[in-house]
Amino acid sequence: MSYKPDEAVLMAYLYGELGEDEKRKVETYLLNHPDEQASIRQFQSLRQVMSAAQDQEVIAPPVFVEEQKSTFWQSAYWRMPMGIAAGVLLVLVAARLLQIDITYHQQELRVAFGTPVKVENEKVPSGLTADQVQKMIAESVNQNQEMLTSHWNQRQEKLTQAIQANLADNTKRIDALARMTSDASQDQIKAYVAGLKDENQRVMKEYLTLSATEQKAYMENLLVDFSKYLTEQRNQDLALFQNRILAVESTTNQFKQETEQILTSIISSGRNLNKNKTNAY
Amino acid sequence: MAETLLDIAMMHSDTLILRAREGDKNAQGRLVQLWYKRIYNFCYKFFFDHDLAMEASQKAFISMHKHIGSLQDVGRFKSWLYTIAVNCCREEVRKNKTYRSVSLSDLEPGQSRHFAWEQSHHRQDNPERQLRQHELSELLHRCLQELSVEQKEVVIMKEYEGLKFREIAEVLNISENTVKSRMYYGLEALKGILEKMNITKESIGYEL
Repeated sequence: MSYKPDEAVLMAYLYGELGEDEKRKVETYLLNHPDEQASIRQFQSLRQVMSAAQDQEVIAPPVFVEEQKSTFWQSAYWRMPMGIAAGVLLVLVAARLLQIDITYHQQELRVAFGTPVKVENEKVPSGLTADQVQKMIAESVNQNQEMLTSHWNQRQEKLTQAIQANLADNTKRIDALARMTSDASQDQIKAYVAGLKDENQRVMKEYLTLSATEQKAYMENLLVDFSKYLTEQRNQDLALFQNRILAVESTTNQFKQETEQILTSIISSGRNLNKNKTNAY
Repeated sequence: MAETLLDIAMMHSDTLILRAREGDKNAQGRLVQLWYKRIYNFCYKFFFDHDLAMEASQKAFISMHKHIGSLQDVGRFKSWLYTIAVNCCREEVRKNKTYRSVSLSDLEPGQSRHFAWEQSHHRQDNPERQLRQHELSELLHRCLQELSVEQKEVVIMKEYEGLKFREIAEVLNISENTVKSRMYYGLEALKGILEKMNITKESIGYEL
């Protein structure tokens, strides 16, 4: 046969995309070419193996881009300069409305709103000496420290109490739990033992019933066998007895015949003797 | 192949496509919901990388949204969408010339045990079986990366996306015979790779 399917036809066959006629041709070809058939089988099992590559689960993002009708002012080219211009305009308008006044004089920057007011520099009277300041600082530091210490102590006390309360609570809970567990386990054991007992009883009963029936069957068999044996024995005895009787009978017959012969011979010899006697007379 | 409700919905979405083509945003959104998993999985098998796959599939849908108005034949939506996906994947490959792919030579046959278990489908299975299936799936994804880009595209579209050879030819704009030939050599190559990895139907029989 000159027909030989090429790779393309074999692939279409493998994926079931051939027309009926072509498919039949390929099948006949494969029947006659076991090596090609084997390679198709290999492809089939390869496909089975590859089918183990699972799909990944994925959720479609709920995005969707609105179509933007870009006008002249919205174009990217204009957006930046327009933004800057708008910002500058806003600053200018704000400055006009607030009547802002910015001055820089003797290393001093002043920003003022409204009409400018002349302000004289006020001297701050220095009524405290360095010692007094030192003392005030020391006092405040002391106060602070005392407050801290008292706070600290309070906290510690509270903490200790809380820990003790917690401990007691936990101990109680654990006790309760332990008690509960022991109660539960006793009940469970009882139930388990009862279950075991029932099970054993059932098993024993079943066993006894079973063994009784078996024994009965055995005894019946035994009796039947014994009766069969007896019958057989009797038959054999009878046969033996019959044989013996037959033997005795035959012996008797023989004896009878022998006796008859003897008797006839005696009789005949007796006659001869008589004849001879008479002849002699 | 078992058809899910999603598959059936995908098969009968002509009116949806028509509405989307006329600019119905809602219909376009529904199309994304319908096709996202397929396109994402195509990209995932192409890159074996979640981030790149997300990137490519999102670009594909943005492109779909932009150009659906010019779709001529509603019946060809599927191959049209895969064309976009293939183009997006190729573009990502160009952009990330050195995209992350783990070579199989880094991976000895017995060493495939340390794959992470991330997902749980098939709730009826026991965890160990699920883990083994997941590992096997990862391994097969890696094997796909060993193919050339041309073979990989064809194998994924045929084997996992279930496109007809005619549709793949349309997607890639090549002849149907070229598609079949690429498929043949792709399968041959995969056979060799799996043999090298000692993965056979028998060795994984209990996992299928």
